[in-house]
Amino acid sequence: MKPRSVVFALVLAGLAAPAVGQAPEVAAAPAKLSDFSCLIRMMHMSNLASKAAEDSKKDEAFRSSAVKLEAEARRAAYYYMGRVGPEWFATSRTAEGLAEFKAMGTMPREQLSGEVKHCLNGPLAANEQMIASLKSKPATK
Amino acid sequence: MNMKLLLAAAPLLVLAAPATAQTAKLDDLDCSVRVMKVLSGTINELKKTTLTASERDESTNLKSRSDRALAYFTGRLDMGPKIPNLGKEIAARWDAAAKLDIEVQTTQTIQCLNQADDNQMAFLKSAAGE
Repeated sequence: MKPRSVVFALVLAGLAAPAVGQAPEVAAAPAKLSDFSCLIRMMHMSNLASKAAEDSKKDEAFRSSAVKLEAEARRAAYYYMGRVGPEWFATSRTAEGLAEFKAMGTMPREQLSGEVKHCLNGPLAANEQMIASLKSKPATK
Repeated sequence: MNMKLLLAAAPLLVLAAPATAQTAKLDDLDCSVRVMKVLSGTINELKKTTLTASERDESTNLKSRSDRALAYFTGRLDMGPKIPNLGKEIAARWDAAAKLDIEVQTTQTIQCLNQADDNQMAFLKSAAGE
């Protein structure tokens, strides 16, 4: 299995709902990550998940989990795009992006998995807060 | 929100984006509310069993687009100053938006969706070194 696939599998396993009475897995607290670092990780993770979702060699449960992870990672990427903001993207960020990919390629996979999960959690909480306020309102007008 | 009007207007308003951008000053919370209304509307629309395949595809695409846009504006809000009583503020903006003409709601909503998509394009161009 390729290292990136291992990271994907670790993240997927970490996101799986814990059994009743079982404490959820707690990822090691990653070093301070910038919004741009998280954005790159979420873009990368959504691409990996997209490919996994189309892997006909995997069973339905795996592909279904991959579809869910892809949606969450893509949503998280948009969240970090919002945090970074259009002003920051006014100039080329190729060098920074490549540096992030290089860093991701050299770090231990457990560390990268923990960082990915850390980057997923912030947007999930923020999104749930917004959706919760939406549920209190009438659906359409 | 009238989803059929929004779906019908979307292609035209995308082409007219530079002009429509001048029609309203909307902040990130205004846009959050508008894309939440679309998201909610598409979720309800997709529950209907009477939709044609084409209508279902259009609603699914709009749901994905509004879902991404909501995440984008949520990120923008998280970067700004904290809004006291966020829930009440969202409710007030929601009610204010609901009082607008449906055509104005549609135009403003597409303006917000385009803003989120434009930022993604800016990111892709920036990453590509353009």
